[in-house]
Amino acid sequence: MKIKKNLQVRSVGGENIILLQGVNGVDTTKIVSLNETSLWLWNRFADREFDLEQVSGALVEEFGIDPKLAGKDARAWMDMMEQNRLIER
Amino acid sequence: MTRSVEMFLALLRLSLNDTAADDHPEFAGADDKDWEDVFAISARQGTVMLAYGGLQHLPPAIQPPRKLKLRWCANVVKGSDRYDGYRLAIHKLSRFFSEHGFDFLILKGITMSRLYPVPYYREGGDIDVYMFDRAKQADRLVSSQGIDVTCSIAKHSAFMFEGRMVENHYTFFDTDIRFRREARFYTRMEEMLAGMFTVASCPVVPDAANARELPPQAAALYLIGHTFRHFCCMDANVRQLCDWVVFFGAHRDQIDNRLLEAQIEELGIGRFVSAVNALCAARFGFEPRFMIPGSGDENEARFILKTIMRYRVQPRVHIPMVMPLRYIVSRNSIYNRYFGKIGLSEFLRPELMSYFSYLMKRPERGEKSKTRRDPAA
Repeated sequence: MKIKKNLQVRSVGGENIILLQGVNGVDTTKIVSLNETSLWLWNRFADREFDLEQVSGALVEEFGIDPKLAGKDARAWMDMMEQNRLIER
Repeated sequence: MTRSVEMFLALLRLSLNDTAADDHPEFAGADDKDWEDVFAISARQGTVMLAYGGLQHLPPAIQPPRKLKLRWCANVVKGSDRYDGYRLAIHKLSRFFSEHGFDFLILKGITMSRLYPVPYYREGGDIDVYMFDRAKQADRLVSSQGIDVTCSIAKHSAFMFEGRMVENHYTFFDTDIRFRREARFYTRMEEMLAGMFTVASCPVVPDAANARELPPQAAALYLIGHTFRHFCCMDANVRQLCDWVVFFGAHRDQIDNRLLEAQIEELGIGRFVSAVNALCAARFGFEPRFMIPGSGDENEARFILKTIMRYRVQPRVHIPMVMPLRYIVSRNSIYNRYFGKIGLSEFLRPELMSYFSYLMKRPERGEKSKTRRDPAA
């Protein structure tokens, strides 16, 4: 899977957000806020294919955490990305 | 003033000065409703982004609820994008006029934004341009490109360029006003301004091709006149006070305060200017260098703030004729305050004529207008 193109993380006043614009002229803007780890993953996997294992491995490598915890966090991150339609397969 | 208004003004003060305060009594015990009110007031007063800047100086314990903060943040991001679009439009407009040999001024807008601690925090609107003595030629040039140019009032024509409304000013102020005393006032101000600059004395706006701006001395008088006009029309907002603080703060060493004071005295608006200075000093930490306010100006400052804030409160029930009457009475009290005693016939007749003329011209006749327009325009 891959992070969708044309999505931009905006950092304003300590917040890192992605604005998902509504369609048909109706302002149904959705805001996705990324914490620091989430933002780090976003930047790490922007413009490239990835899977659960790679995300989990990246967390272990960067933060030196237990692989089990990393797997859980990686799943949570990918679920969040999927629910908000930020990634495509 | 309510707690939310106090919080709102405190946020602007923090943002304008870009400094943290030691304590924050205005925010102690604020609940979610107070914060929602602050956000709503910020939006009405054209200062959503500037107020957000103030949030950055508050400790985590007294920040607004997270959901609201994210909504606020989203508005800031959108505002930042709008500002980029605005700058791009100005750049293209400058290039367009430059290619056709036109010099022109940008009034307020980007010339004011760039004085703010964060330029895009100032919400932009139309692009106001002044083509020196070639306004009509500029209109013809724009028309020749297939762009519709409308001339509904004497002060300026208007056209769309790159999705932005551009107002091509024939004059700086509206001098075609039915209320004669006010018309004479702006005619005099126009004469003063005309003698204060030449093309060569107007600095080029950085990053805007050949566009120029008024030199600080002339821009100071223009800003004062502009603020006064909006206040008299009862559509001034807090953003204009912020412009005042930012402009006079940035140009404090480039303005001849004696000359400015003499002009203000001649125009007879010393009381108003002194009161705005007092208000900006009390609320935003501004340090006036002209028309220094005295202790008596505190009441005047309260009147100005109350007028600006009250006007923005929309009544829930629409009662026919009550709003226009209230508007006229309020305007009359403003003129009595700043133009001296004004008889009813001198004020009321032109005011009513303007109002009915406005009703006749209104594009959506018979429908309730959601936004208040200036009937005198």
